[in-house]
Amino acid sequence: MGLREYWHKLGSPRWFYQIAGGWITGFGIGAVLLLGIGLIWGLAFAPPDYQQGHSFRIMYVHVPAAMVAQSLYLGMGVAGFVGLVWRMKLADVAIGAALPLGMALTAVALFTGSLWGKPTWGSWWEWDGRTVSTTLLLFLYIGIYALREALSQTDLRARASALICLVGTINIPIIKYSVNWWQTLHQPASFTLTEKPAMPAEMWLPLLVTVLGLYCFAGHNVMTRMRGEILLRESRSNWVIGLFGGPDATEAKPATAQALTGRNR
Amino acid sequence: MYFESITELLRMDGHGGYVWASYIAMLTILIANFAMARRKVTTQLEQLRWRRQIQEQSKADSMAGDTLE
Repeated sequence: MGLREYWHKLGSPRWFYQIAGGWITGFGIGAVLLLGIGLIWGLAFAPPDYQQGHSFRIMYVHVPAAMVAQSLYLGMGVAGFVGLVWRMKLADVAIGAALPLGMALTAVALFTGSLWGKPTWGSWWEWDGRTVSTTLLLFLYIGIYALREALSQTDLRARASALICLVGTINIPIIKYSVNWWQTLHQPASFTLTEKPAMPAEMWLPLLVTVLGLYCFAGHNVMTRMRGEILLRESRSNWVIGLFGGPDATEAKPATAQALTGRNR
Repeated sequence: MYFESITELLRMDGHGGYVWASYIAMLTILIANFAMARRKVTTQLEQLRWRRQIQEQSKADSMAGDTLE
């Protein structure tokens, strides 16, 4: 399938609903396996840090939570741009689906960072560049959530949240480079694409596995929520009615319908 | 396993409380998000199924009414 054709298909909620089933299963299996292995490995099998002792094990939940929370926001920013420029319905669906998990993971990153800070820095909270910019990310998430709850008109809600998502993406490079720009307490990035990690393999491998596992979980969670929202928004369209043996049933095919819903009916 | 006993794993040289609280927080968030996403889909599916049943029922009722007349 050409890129252009793929782009056009992405505008169809029906097409997305159909292809998402397989992706959700794949992401679900990946999440269970990778998170299971990575979290247990980090918690009980990785060696302790020579300076921080066992408190460094918090890294195996803190770093993946922060990375995925930022990626989800970036994804919302891209979806916001697509929604504003091309008026693609799915863009707003994606924003609404990524929002709860992104908000929860940002809160986890801050909470676990605070738990890590106490034995390491001797304080639950520091006015550190990365801590403050991540708190700002949480406020952005909460703000968009509140806005979406307050506005009932779908089009207005889509445009307003897309705009805030897009403007808020400026905070992502600030979070990323905060440890370089301001020489603060927070340690530098655990992973970069260009350099080998400073840790030994028995420490960074479980982290890599957990990060990949959490990305799989995010894929599973966001796509599942998107399917739920598509069913809600398209509940009166023929293809959704067809899934339940309605007038469009021949087009949707009963066997496919069962596979699409992912459940035996 | 790095630790020689379960007690050592739980205590982690005095850091156990911080580490375990972090893992529990993460697992709680993951389970809650999984359950909420699943509920969103199942609620929609149940409503659509219910609506379909109502439609079929009313269709059957009207057909029965026509036969009686």
